[in-house]
Amino acid sequence: MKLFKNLFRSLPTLLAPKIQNCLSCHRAIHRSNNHNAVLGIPHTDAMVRALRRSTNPFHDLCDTCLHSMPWIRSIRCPVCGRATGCPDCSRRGKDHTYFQQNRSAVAYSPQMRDWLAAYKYRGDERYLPLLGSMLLTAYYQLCGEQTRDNMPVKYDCITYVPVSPSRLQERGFNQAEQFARTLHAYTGIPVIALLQRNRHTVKQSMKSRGDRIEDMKDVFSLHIDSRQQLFSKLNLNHMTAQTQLRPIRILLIDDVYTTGSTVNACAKSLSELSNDLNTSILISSLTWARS
Amino acid sequence: MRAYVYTVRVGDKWVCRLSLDWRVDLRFWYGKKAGQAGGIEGRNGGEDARLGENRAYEGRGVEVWMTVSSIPLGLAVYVTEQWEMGPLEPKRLIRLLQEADPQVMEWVSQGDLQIKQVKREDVCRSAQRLQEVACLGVSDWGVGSKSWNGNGNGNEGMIMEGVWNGDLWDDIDWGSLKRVALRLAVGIQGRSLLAHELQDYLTTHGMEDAALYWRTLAQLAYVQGLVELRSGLVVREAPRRFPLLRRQRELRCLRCGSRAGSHRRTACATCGSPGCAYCEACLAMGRSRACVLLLHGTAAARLAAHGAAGTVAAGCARAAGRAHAHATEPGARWRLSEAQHDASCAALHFLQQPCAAAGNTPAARGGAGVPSFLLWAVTGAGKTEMIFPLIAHALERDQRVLIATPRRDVVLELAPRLAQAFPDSRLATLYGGSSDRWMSAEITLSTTHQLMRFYHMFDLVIIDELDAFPYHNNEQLQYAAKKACKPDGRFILLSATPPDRMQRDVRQGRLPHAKVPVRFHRHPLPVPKRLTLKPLRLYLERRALPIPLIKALTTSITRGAQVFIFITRIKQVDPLVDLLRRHFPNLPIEGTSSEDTERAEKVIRFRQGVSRMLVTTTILERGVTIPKSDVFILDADSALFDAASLVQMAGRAGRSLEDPAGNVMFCASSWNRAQQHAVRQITSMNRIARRQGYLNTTSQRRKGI
Repeated sequence: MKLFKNLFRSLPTLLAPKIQNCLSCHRAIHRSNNHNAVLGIPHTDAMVRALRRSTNPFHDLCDTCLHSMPWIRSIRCPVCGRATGCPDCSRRGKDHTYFQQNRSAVAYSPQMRDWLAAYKYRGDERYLPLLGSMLLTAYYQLCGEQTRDNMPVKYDCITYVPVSPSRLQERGFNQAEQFARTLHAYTGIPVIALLQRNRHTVKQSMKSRGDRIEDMKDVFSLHIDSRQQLFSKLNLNHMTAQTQLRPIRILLIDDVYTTGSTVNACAKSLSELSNDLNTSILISSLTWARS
Repeated sequence: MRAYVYTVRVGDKWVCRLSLDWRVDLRFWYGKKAGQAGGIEGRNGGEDARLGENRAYEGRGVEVWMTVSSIPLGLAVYVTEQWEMGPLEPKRLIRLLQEADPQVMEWVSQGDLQIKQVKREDVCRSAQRLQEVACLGVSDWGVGSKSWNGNGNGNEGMIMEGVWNGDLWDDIDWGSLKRVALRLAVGIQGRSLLAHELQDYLTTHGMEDAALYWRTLAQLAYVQGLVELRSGLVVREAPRRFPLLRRQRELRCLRCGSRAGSHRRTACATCGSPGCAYCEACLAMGRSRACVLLLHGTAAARLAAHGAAGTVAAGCARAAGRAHAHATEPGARWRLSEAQHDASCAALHFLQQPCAAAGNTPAARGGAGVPSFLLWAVTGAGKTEMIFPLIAHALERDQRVLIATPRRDVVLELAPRLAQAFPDSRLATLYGGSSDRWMSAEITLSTTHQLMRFYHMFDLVIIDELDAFPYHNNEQLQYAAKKACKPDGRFILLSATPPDRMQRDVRQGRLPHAKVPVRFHRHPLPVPKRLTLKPLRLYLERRALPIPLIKALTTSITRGAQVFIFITRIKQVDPLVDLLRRHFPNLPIEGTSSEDTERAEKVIRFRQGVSRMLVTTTILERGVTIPKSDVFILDADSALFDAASLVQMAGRAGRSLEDPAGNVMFCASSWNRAQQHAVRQITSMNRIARRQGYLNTTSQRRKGI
């Protein structure tokens, strides 16, 4: 009897279209059939192709939210990828910058802050596909800028900024790692955990600029088996240590770039790899937001 | 989070428990028997006696069988719930794990699921060594201590944070730890807390250092039976989809009651599962997950059963004395009208019935399994005053009262009135970000969401504006309210427009109820009048309003009333306001909707009488009281207005003694079921009022019924 009752109750909704609500503002999404999926997103053909391979995460947003995203379209500081002039990079000086450049997808606006907070602190992992694929815009921008012999540069591996074990326990995931894995899913570049965090630092968002830079000393170091991992995953074994290898390009992923101290500390540790490998290591950083 | 599972034999009985810190369990089962330990613990005899039976368990363990490494908490909870008897053994353990998660053996190695017997002699000999080992968070029970293939790296999967670093076999430390655990258990009595909320409790109650070893404390309270340890999401049997088929198992959120549809599985570094589910329905309250710890404070049941019964009995005697003074005449103390008084007495009678008599039909148990009583009071009847006698009744019996309302602004409005009515009782006002979070109070006023943080706390639960809860929240509310209520507690439901299902139960006599058919001023409810108009859309396109509407509005304005105009669409608000301003150039007219950022200010201006006309959507259908007001509902035949919201909107008119008969207009091109239903509800209430003689004689003579 109950079965028939349930069946009867579900009849009117049987043919109704499924209403999807916007991930960010929770309003119903009204969209025409010929909707352009990458409307308003800085995109390249390669990115459109990559997005087409699976369900497009930008479909989770309504048009209003999609159009209000603070994409970084023009870059003023070639080092840190800021859309405005940048005192930090000139202050640090070229000698102490261990990475080549940083590119971020969006500016860290209040709305983006809310999104990251929902994902990172509240644990709403529905945001991951969206935030992860936002990195694609920065990735293709970076590829477009760096060409060698008119061919886009290829990156050998992706690595990410680690979190401390206790933070990982508390949160259940490392957001930078998740971003890296999303990027891997789109581009196929292998993800290797090269770094480890030695020390628990206080939450970055609570500190001033000077504190952050001081605080970052010796926080990161190379993972014990990072060399072996790099060798095996990149098939470097057949080359002897004597021959000069081509430079290895590493993409370093993090969520937010503020002063660059985290990224720089990681890059410093990563650059130590060049001694063992007898080749140069080129590190580019890819972050989701630039504050 | 992960936990160990063990079974222990006490006499000839096997008990299955989980452990967050197994040193505590070994000390508890193999330590000195209660009462044997002299000295420090002796001084604490009073408290120990109150712990009764479980306390007597201490030191009586014969043999312990424990998993060699920890397993994800969700699975551990399932095993402890399902373990029937006998010592823990791998085969049965694996079968239970597979019941909970069919894919479990794909990500768990058999080696981790081995069982080790721990004998009393082993422990006593090597107590010191055991404790050292535990601090490292690695079990050395012979078998490989590799953690589960959690997040790739073996040693990251298992970290013991939050355990006590001292020697548990030291009697002095053990005694003081037990005192802190008891204090904790009493503090969180009746609450349902996630692990991080427990830590928050400890830090905000002067136990900052205790927060560092919260796992040890929680375990100590658990093993003494003072708290229950659960996981946020638990495996339960699903309702049968087809008769005769086997029942499936599904995950349910133990905090908000949501089912598999609102869960999402993601890889989890905390427990090592590749698909650890979390609940999206109550995400805003902190993430409830299959591997996150959920504590239920159940100390009161334990303490009341043993020894503390004396205080309860004393409370009852005192209550009986006071009850004679007040409860007989609620009307006099609270200045209730005749109708209010009658309804209150009926509700009081329901509360005084023994549990069995109060709810023996399923409907009377309100669908939630708790005996329920519906107070069906028309809009403006003074529902709040009617619940005062009920609250007083409960307080006299030393019971705890909860008043749940749908919205935060209702909480803030109700709080001062309750505080004024019960100046001697503590009142906790709970909403998102409220500072009364941890207050232990006799009266708790809370929004729906905050209800989820309680477990068997209240004797009387009053749910205000039952039908105003958003539809999708209904199941959640029912679950949360039932969870917050004690097993022998009661529900009082308040509504002006009960949902259809409940009205049917009332008609069929399955739900005890009392109707309050008249407003406090003893005048009948204004009956809506019809005004046939074309849809508003056409008039807006034509940029002209129909003459009958203008005439009716002018009549209201000239008699000095403020006018509510309810419409269906947010985007029609501004065009209509413009049009009205053209027709009434000198009148202050405003419009608002849920998308309006200045909504609060505009409502205040309307309340103060600064603006005379307010165009709005259904958001203002309840809660706003204007002394002299008329109501116009445009497009009243729209599917967006059901009978309940039409009754609520009509209820905005004629609220005060000065102007008891406002005008209500249903403006529509057709006369549909919802409108007929609404008018029928209003007239039938008026008829009941007249029949029972609640109406003023003057107003009886005046027609309108």
